[in-house]
Amino acid sequence: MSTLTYKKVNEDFLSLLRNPTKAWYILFALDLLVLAFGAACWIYQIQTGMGAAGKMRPVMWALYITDFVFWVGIGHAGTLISAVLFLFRSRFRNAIYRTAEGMTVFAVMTAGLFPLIHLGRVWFFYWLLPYPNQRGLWPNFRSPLEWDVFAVSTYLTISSVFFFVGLIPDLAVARENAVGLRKKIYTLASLGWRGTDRQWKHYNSAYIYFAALATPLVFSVHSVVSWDFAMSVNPGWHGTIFAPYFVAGAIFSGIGMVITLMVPMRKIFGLEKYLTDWHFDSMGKILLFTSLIVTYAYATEMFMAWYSGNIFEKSVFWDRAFGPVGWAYWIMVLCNCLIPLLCIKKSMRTNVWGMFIISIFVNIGMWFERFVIIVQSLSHNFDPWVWRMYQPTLVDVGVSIGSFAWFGMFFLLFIKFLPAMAIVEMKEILPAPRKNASAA
Amino acid sequence: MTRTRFVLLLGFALTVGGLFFAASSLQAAKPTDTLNPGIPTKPTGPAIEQPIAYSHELHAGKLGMDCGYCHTNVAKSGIANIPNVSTCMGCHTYVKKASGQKEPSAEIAKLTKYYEDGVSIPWVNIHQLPDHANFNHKRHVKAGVACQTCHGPVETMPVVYPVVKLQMGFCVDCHKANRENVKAPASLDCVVCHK
Amino acid sequence: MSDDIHEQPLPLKRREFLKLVGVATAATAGAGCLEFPPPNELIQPYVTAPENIIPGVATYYASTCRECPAACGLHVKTREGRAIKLEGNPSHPVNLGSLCARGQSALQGLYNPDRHAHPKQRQADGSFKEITWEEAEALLVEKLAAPAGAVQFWTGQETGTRAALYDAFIGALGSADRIVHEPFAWEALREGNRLAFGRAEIPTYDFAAAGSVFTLGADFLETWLSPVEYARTFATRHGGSTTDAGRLVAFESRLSLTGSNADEWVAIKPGTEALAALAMAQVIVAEGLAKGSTGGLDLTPYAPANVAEQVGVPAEVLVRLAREFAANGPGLAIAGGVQAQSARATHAVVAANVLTSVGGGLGSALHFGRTLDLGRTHAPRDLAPAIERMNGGGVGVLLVHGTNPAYSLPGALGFAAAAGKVPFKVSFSIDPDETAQLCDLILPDHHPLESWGDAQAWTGVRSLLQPAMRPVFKTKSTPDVLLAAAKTLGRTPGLLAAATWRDVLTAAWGGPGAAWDAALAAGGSFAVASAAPALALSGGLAGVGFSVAELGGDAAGTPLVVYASPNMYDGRGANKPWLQELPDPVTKVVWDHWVEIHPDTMTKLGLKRGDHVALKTPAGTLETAAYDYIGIRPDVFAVATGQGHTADGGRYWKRGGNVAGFLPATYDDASGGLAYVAVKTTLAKTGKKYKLAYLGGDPYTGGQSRQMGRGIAQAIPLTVVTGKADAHGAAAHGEGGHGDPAMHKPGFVGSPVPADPIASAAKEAPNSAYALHAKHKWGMVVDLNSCNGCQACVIACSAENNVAFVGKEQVDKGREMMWLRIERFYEEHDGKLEVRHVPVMCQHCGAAPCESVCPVYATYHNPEGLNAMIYNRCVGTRYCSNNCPYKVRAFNWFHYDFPAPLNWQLNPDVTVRDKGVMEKCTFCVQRIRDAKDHAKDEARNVRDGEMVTACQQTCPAQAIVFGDLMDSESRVRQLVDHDRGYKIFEEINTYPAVTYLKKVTRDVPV
Repeated sequence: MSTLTYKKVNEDFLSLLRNPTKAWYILFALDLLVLAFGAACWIYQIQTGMGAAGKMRPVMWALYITDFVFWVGIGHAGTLISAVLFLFRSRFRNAIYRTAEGMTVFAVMTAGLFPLIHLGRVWFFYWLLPYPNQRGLWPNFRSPLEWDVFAVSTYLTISSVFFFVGLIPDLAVARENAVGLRKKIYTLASLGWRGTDRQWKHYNSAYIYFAALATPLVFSVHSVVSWDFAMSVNPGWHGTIFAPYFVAGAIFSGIGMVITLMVPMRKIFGLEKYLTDWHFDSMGKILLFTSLIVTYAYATEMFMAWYSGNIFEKSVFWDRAFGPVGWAYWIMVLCNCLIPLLCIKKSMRTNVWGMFIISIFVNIGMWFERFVIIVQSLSHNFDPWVWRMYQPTLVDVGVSIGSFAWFGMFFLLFIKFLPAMAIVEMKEILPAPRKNASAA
Repeated sequence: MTRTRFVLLLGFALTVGGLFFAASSLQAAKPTDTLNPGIPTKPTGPAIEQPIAYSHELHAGKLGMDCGYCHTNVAKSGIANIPNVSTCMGCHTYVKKASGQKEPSAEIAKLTKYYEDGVSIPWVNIHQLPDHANFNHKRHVKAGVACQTCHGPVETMPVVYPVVKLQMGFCVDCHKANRENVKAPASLDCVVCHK
Repeated sequence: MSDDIHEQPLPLKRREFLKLVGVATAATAGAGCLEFPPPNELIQPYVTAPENIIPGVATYYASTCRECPAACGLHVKTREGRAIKLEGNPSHPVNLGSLCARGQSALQGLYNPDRHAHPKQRQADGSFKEITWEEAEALLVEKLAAPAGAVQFWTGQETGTRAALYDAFIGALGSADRIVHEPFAWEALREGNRLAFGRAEIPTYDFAAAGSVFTLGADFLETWLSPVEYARTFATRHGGSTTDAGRLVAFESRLSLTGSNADEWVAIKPGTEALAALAMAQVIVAEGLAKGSTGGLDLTPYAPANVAEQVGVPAEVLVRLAREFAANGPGLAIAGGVQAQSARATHAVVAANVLTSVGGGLGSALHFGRTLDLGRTHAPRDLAPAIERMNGGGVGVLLVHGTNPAYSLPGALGFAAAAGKVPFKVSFSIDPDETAQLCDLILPDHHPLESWGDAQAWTGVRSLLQPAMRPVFKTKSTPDVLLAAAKTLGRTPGLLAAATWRDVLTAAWGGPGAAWDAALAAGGSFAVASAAPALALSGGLAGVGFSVAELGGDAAGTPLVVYASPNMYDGRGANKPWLQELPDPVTKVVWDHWVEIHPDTMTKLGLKRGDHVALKTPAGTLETAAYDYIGIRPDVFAVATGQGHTADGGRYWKRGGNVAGFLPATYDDASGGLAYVAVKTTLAKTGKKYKLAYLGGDPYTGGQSRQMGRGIAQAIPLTVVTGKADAHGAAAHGEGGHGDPAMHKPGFVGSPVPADPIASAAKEAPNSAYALHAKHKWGMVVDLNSCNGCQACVIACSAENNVAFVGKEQVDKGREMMWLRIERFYEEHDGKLEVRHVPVMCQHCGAAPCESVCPVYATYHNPEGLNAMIYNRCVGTRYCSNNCPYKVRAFNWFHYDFPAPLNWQLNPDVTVRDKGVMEKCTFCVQRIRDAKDHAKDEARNVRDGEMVTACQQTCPAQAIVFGDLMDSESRVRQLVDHDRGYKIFEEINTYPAVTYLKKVTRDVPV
């Protein structure tokens, strides 16, 4: 890195903000296309009714809630990297945290859609919010779904504020080098940042506060999400292990997604200098660690089902592994427990494309984890008379795919219009420029 | 320092005062007859012209006829009835002129025509309740709720207009006020009113 | 939505006269408070109010059910001039207030969107065009004035004044050619009784008096004679808390609903009923246990050893059963059901009577104290000449009323072809059925619920039909049409002199006056003969040669058993969505037709459930779907009647194949009744893609539903109930048998049934809202020992609560809406198949999992212990259903239509739920509201038994009891602590308000 100077850093990152290339436009257009399809599916569902999606009794929740949990989970890595690692002063985060943070905000924005999409009467969604009304009615604060409303909205607020605060100095840098409309926007967004010592002093303390504020969310939000299931009486859901299990899973999937996003960025924008083996090595370690926790959770669930002697639990977990959707369970085990074990070898952790492939598997595996927990448990409930397996429809799938496009749209805009890398903090880890440096 | 302390004190004083006023106003708001806290008069909707210019002001007001004389089922059924055309004709077979008029009234003629053609009069509904709400007229009338409490001073209306928005809040407020009512305890159980 | 049945155009608008006060139709949850104030609607008063109609108050009319010949009494509930529900007439001796699923569905016959809405005349191009009644009647008269041949009048079975009128009319036209065709007319039964007792009648079968009932293919809980009455009397001896060893043994090759309630099922070969019965009689006589004569019949040739081979049952089984039959008298053996109607059906009835006689049942369980009048009918064999007359061109005018021979007669008889030879054919049918399609003129009659009429049930029991509402369509009462025609023709002898049909009827009832008014109010005149005169077999049975029925068709083929569909009956149920969506009581298949095959045979033939197959007989081919049913002999196939309509008019009824149509024209030798068990068939896959929709369709047990040891439908041996054995010995009974085995496992804590559900639950679970109950705590008890799985309650529930029907596709997806379902579980222990039926509705848990998770309080616990549901508050998160252990919540996946005028049936007291809303059983909260309203008017509390849920009201077996658990005197309170009482999944501590009483299994040692 010693070859890098402040000047070079500025140039490198600002180059990202130059006018988009053709490739970018094509990618963006494709993305919008998929998004439009997803939106069409949702509109069709609103018109005809929830039946447009393949849900039925007993599987009244399926892909939508799966996607919801999946996306909320994705968000967590961002917060972990940007907030927790910041507090721990682990420097490798500086290169990746901006992207991770962006990912968090967009993931939560995506996740937030699903509770709406899965409502039978979405036009009354506001009844879930506590607001004074002539009926004199309040929502039911005992309902885990109500907790979700607060958890997710809090998470969205905090993470977006944190995201923006982190951006301010870099927006200033961008302002200096931009022209025309862009300059106006950056000027506005950078809130008159001039980089004076006073500003830096306030900035740093504020940033620490936000980090401290965001940190507990990493644990609370996904715990609350897990309670949607843990608080119910359903065999396969009703488990005390759920909160830690979900948090670990969330970070696991989040890191997976960060890698999945980082590797192509690194290639496309030639950021090899900034995203080095060191970064991937560190992320690989987190991946491995969380994967082990998740594996432990799976094992515990199975053991408890057997040990409890509760016929409902035993039956549902036997079915999970060997029932009609057993394949989903084994995909999950393969992707979440076995493949990440490769990260034990340093050579693997530092093999960027290897990590990329592993991360893809992790994403798939974690999606299937949620699918198995939700769909399989519901399909095999207390009363054998109503046992049924669920078949997704085009609408289910369309909306789910659409959600990826929705996420992708924001991400593509992000890397084009905002500094995807923390310029200032990259400089932090560079040697301060010496007078004669310019000459040399 | 002192300034901040002053500000704090002031804020505290204001809050306490505010709370006190709020509480006292609540106290004052208590009506004497909880079943009939008073007759609302402010229109909440348009006065809609009916197929026949029937005047409640005349019949219920000037002539002082009892509501139940025409709306015969208010105490018999959950659904208050619009009088049968035959009920009107009970009088208007004989009464053909408005008082003081020489000419027979055109409106009464309309009525007679409906009756003779055996056609029902298409009255327009003014006090509409959402269909999922189960409002039992009988129960309320028997409990002693005055017609005017919900329908307003109909006996003063040449053309009837609504004076209350028949929304859940309106019902619930009254039911809350009469929860402990010994004569007619009102229920706050949802299924009592929701079909 | 995708389902075909909801895409039909709405054929007609509301009729003027039905525009009443603005409460006419029920509400919609979705529309609720989207806009306020809602757009102004009209409120139109009556011009002159009909007497005794107060808008908002229900009016009841007594009438009579015409869905089968049993003639149950009806109370037609009407609101604002529309019939909205059918309930049994409590004072009618036949059904005492109960009503079966078919009877209640008559409403959907009345409001059927496919009914003939007006008179029609056939055009040259074969299509029908609407004509006025004037034109229609003129045309009728014209043709009758100068018929191009004799006039032939086909009618359905009539047991009242109509029959007389029809005879008078046809007589006045100088013809005696009135053909009475009823598909299920029980010819064999009548002939069998003539041979045995010298009376060609239907005697009284008193199941309450019978210690043992052996049924030889008589499905008396479904279609046989008078199912509602029999279900009730059977339950009094066999169900409830009786400790009497009243037993039922079913001898049938295919397990019917009746058989599924039997204590033992003996799968005999089809057509061998007579031999089986005689074999057992022989044992009883030989062992000197006989309590009655054998009618001079020498039974030795029928000794079990000799016939066991033919009957297909080990001799020792017959011997054992014979001894039990004699031991637990008086014994009643019955036969003559459709699924036993072979070429030897009459002999089976005679043999059954012999068995009854030696079993000591004559004069008590079987007597002629009162007979069930089925009127005069022509056996199908005797129809051949009539059809010949048509073929011969001798018939100039053909009149058809109330029967559908083109559908219900074997194609081989060639009715359709013969009718083609008749120059002018008139149909009075209310439905566009196959026969009506053949006719030139259609003069639709009123539906029975719109008509005057009467019917004879038992001797001394005459019931009346009176119009419950103005006609829905432009129809005209056929008797009036005939009277008018007779007048214009100037032929008015006797009855025909009367001005109107009502006059004829009134005259037949002794003229107008107090008696007539009383009869109208009561629903008829009921002078029940209660005496049970002594009875003995008439001698000379020696002449009857008993033998096994020969089956025609491919000798190498498989015997085909045809049984009467409990839902479709003879086909008249097929156009009623309620009955189509009501699962078959044993197979639980909906909206379809299927052939039942034993699972082993399925595997042998390489078939999977739902495969599309073709059954071939010499008379034709029947295309239907294969269903693997463990309740059938491996060497037999079985299909039901009633589906496979072909007429274009009916939007719901074109499903599967018409069984009657493809049967060969073979008859019961003695009686001439159609032989439904007549052929062997060969089966071949058609290769067409097909899917059966059925409930209990879990992929884990292939729909052969088992309880998986979860104690949903529990049972207890009689010996334990009577204290002859300890409960421990009882646990021998296989999985899910007696309580949940898991509850005895270490680490599994099940909560005991609270002795006092309120007090103890309030103690154990203070939050369970038990403690809060102000005045009432509504609860229900379901006695599984009485419940026979007939599903009358399901229809009652749907009718009362505006439950939508969703169609085959949706049911197949698991989206049926019914609030109440009968779960059917199979138990197999020591090789015996046992079937358990358990009605599952919302359990109204005291600590309900669904309540705490609803984010908007759309479902909550009300102060009276109801788990209430506020549709209009529901946003559709469906969390409640996920968290419901009983999965009794139904979600509105789409907007479900009630094609007009089916929507006229909707109950205005119950919201019609729209898409996106969760719904479920409410314990008929609107009825509770109503009961309390009455009580308040009289300034008193709700009396026990005053508040009756719809399912309880109609249950023929009286298996359901509802009431106030806080009233220590109430029946439900007494039953809730019953020894047999248990709660489903009580180990989850949901404190259900529904208590089940264990089924009592009888294994009586000889």
